[in-house]
Amino acid sequence: MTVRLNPLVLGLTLLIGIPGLIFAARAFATYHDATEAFTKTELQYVRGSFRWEDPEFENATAVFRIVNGSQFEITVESLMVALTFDGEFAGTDYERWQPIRVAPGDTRDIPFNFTVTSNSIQPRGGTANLGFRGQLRITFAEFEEPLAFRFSGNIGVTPYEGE
Amino acid sequence: MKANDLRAALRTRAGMLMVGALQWLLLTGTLGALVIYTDRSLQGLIGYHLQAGYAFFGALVIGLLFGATIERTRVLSVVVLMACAAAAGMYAAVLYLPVWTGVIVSTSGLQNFATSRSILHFGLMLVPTGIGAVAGQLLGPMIPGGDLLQDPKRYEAEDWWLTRRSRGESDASRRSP
Repeated sequence: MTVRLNPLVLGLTLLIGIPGLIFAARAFATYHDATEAFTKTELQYVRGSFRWEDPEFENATAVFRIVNGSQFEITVESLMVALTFDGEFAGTDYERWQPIRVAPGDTRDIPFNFTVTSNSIQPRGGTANLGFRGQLRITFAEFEEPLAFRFSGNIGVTPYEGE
Repeated sequence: MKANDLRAALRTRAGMLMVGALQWLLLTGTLGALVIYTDRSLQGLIGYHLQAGYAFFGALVIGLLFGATIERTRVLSVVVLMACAAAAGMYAAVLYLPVWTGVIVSTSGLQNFATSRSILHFGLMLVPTGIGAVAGQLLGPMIPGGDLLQDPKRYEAEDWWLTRRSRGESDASRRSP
């Protein structure tokens, strides 16, 4: 005989085996949902939304878009964007960030008001190659792990267009 | 009569294989779940996180249950090795599930990570499961409740723990004049 079927051992096998299988299946499903949520949440710069507010190149606005393609509600805990002139830090939006919630499948446009604080390069605002870099932190109610990443992008040369 | 029929069915090769396969599936699934829930890389993404001690203790118990059920050491070794390999494979499968469903793409970084962590988990699980299996094989005949495959009359005696300590021993005593 190869096996010994003890009812106590069999009972214990069922007792720990069935919940074990259920938890394993849950882990598969939850991890899959988490990766899907992470990959379907995007931050986009709205092309052409950047504009100078004054000819001195001190203030500018731009719109960034959060796309929540996941099946979960997200909270944008922080979003920091820095404006760059030819890759050099020029300024940022100095207003305190208020967390915002984005429903599943929804998008939210976030206007940014940049203030150029690097006075030495400020006159180059209309001729420099503008860009942005920043970092984003998003939390999901279903997962402890936040989605946090750094990003950068190019806006291009944007002269002052007037009122 | 029905109990005898069930015993007869379980004593067949197919019956034993079925029970063994079911037990292997349940315990391997649990071992895999322990690996997944204790791995730090999945912390915060799958709900719960267990300390490594729970996995060690769980693997010890799982090994004990394997050892208490399987009498042949060679078969037990293969079963334990397969269980640890499958549990480590389950961890890799969790990482690869989003790749298989097209959510993310497979990169060499992911492949290396999944492979190295799976090998690590295989080794880490093999130690407590192996220890548990050895202990289970030694303690198996002493666990109260008897053996469903054996005639119940043999276990009704008060000194069941003496007469049932080792089947090999009892077989040998039966053969002796």
